[in-house]
Amino acid sequence: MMTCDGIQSLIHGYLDGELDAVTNIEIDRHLQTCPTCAPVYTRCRTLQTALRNGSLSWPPPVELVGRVRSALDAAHPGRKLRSVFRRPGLQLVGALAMVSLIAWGLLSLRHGTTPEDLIIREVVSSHVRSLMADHLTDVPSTDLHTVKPWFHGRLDFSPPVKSGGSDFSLIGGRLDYLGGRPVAALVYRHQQHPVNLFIWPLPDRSDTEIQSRSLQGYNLLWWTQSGMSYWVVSDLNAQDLQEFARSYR
Amino acid sequence: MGWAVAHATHAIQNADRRLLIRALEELSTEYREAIVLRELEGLSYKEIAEVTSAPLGTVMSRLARARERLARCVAELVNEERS
Repeated sequence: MMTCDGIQSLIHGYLDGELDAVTNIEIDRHLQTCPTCAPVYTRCRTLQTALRNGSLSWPPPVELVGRVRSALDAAHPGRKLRSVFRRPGLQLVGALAMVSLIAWGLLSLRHGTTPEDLIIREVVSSHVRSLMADHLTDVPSTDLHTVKPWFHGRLDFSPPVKSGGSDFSLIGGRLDYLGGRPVAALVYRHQQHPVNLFIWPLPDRSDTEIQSRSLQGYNLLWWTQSGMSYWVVSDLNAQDLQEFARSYR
Repeated sequence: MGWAVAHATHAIQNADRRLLIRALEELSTEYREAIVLRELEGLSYKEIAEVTSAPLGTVMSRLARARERLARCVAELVNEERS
């Protein structure tokens, strides 16, 4: 059970709908009864409402425009920003320009993004959130026969729960949410490195080899096997992580 | 602590647009950027991280600190105007 300090460190993520379903429920329950945390949440929500209803506008900071421009250049070399953003006096451009810039920038960055890219980002975000929120496991156990049955009734599939080999200890499992559906997250540890393995069903897909990618300093591996999609993420080095994936397969 | 939180909530409820803008002006560029992107532009944490080239964890903590500071600032400005 989380303490008030723990709840308050997550209260902004809760307010913004950025937490996993299980943490959301825990915070919901806590806020219903806690005389310390409930007013803090009310203040955050009141501030958010005031800002959103206040018809406020703000010019984009020049350095932010520069960063978006760099990102766009990297994604689409040679493509120019709208003329309004190349004018001197950029700092006077108002809220409308800000909206256009951000929307245009994000749309451009997303252009050419594959569904796989989106899952990769979601997997890394879930991994980071599980570490930040100190919420690696809902069922902390090293026993395969405790972790596997825990998922029964919580998911519409039964994830294969296996040993991670001699160097990787199972430390538990939890529910997570990826690609718009609940998924199983199995958690292993190699020395001080936590490893998240996300599993969900992909019944129509044939088996694939292990694929790999790095993002934000994290290594990812994924493959499909027997109608299940497997995604592994960790700060562990790529070679050891490959060892884990091979052993798990 | 409890009284300060309740006071800030009350102050925010009574703050008009001009006062909110003044409070936003008091924030550092970094904090203001986080608030603007989240509350005015409606970006998700992941999108803010992309646009600002900051790690997701930094976005979360920056936004939390920015809101704390903004709430305090609104309360102080309301006090100032009343005195």
